[in-house]
Amino acid sequence: MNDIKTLVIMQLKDKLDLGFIKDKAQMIRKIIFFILRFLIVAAIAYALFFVSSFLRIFHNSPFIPTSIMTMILTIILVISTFACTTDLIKSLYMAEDNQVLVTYPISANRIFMSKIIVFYFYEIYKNFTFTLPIFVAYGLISPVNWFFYIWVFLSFFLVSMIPVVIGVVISLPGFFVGKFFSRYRILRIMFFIAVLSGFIYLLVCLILLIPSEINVLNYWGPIKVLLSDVTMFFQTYFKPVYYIILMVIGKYDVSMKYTYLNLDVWLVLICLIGILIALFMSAYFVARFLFIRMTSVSFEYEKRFKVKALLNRRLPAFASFILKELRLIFRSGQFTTNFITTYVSIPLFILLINQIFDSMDLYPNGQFAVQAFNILIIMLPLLASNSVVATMYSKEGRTAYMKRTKPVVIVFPLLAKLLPNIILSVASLIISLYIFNAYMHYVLINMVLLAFALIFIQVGHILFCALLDLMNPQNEQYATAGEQVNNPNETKATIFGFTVSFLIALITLGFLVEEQFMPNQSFNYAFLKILLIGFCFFGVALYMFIEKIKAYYYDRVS
Amino acid sequence: MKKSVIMIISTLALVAIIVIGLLFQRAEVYNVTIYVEQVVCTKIRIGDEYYDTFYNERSRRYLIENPEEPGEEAPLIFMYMLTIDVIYELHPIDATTQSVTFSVDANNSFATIEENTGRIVFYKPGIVTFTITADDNSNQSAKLKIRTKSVDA
Repeated sequence: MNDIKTLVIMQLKDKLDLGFIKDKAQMIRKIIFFILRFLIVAAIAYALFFVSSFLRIFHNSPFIPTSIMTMILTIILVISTFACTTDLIKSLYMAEDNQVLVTYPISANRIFMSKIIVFYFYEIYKNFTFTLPIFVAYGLISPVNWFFYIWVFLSFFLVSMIPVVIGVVISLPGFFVGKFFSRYRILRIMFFIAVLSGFIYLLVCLILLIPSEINVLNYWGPIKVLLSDVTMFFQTYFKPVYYIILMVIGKYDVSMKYTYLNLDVWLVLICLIGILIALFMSAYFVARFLFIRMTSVSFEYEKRFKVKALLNRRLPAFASFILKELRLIFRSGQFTTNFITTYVSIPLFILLINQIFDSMDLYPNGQFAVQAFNILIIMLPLLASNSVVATMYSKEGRTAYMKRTKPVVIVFPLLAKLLPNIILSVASLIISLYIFNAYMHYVLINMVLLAFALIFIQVGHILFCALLDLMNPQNEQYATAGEQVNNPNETKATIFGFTVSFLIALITLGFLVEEQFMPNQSFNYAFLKILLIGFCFFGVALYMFIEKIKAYYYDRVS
Repeated sequence: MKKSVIMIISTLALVAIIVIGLLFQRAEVYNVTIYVEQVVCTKIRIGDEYYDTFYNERSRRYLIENPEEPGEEAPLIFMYMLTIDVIYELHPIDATTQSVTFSVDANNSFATIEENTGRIVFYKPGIVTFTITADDNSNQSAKLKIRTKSVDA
């Protein structure tokens, strides 16, 4: 057992920061922080339950039905199972540490078990910090048995197993689907684009469903009916989750009190244990077989490249660097995450915000506040995501120094690295401003001025972030520790991004409010002044960028 | 983008919507009272189980529907302290006053009902009629008849 324990602790360190175990003071701090976090989540959940009870949201009744917990647990379990499955596919069959782990004097079965136990512990940690406080809050507002406060903690050791076991089962077909897509890259890209487009289309449809007039007082009746129906839907169609709730909270009996003195509760417990064991055992024997095969003969699954003879085309120096960067981007999945969370989500978020504000009848000052808020919401994620730029040169690790050996102007490789981010962020910005103006109805020239102003600020900030990385490179850190680096440049870039976003939003608000008292109210001067600020910001950033390149690449070398 | 940044932006958006909505929205004067036209008892709840009700024209009361024979009344099996929640709807759904008062003949010895919550507790098997009255002086009400019988009967 000790060998599994060692393996689990070793792998758990990658998922959770366990450095506090050795330090007593840090451990106490961690425990206090954990309890505080538990209490805060429980307090928020209790407040929400209390408000829904006070407002009689569910079935016009002050009593919170069990169906609400069925709904919450269903959503949590679905998300956890999805996360577990994708992580398990990577960790069980595709992890690079497998090749190292199999060299240890321990059987592959135990390595396999240790990996699953790591996921189980992580699931327990997640549940104890989020799901469990919600259940405790529900217990406080509902007529639960005193035994609930003991049982809920115990039962969650079992509930935490559900996403892990289902994940192990689904990881098998998931692995083969993943393998299929990695073999046919075109299909993978098409599938990704189709899913992303479908998702965006669905979101846009949902956002446009927001009524043109939001008046909660008028719509309160239908909203309450809808919420009650949604919870009932979960109770009716997600029966297995309802049975788990029954096992955790107890049976809501005819005297409207939760009790554990009911056969159903214990029957569910026994069935759940049985199903989990059966599922795990069946998955274990198949997945373990695949795991052992993958760790021992992994080269069989590695991509077989068809070597094609390509004519060596001579490209201009800058174009070659751009081509290299594009190839690197398409090989890495990280850029895709940043691309979706930032560049795709900003226009969608702007659409949502404006659809909500459009349904409000606002005074002119309120309209200006909304416009300034739009600028803030566009710039904040854009500039915050530029923190990635502050790590780009350092992430090249020790290969970064090869740039110095290339017989080209150093600005070429440095700028080529920034170009994909600049192009995509500018595209996202223009689409966001187009949506913004669909609601605000400014004349085209004003929008062009504003677009250029924001583009200058965005590009200026990207240059500033790159500058941070140039001045304080973390190449050695990335070369030795991989991605797990606490990069100070990232933090500085984020803080600076926040500051610039808030400042530009406030300045925009000030200029717009000031302009409304002007005789023609065309707002040209307001947007022109914003453009001037943006241009100055860009100019300063560009000047500093070029000067620092000279200092760090040319002066130092010579 | 870091999760914390996403959280900050989302929270900011929520706060801004509330603050701008509260500070800058033109005040609407609600001078029209929409009165309740009908009180409908849709369901009753015992534990986590929901039972549909139906309106009986002859007795002008809502009765608990037998799921196997729709349109027929189903008696409930009596247990001491059998507790029932009454679930109702007010029509039109945008009625100004949404609250109701629950009542029962005080002289009956079978069951009680909580005036504000509509929670019924049966102490003896029998037939009891409960009244749900809208609180907006519209004089609209609905009557719900519940029959409980002991297993031996």
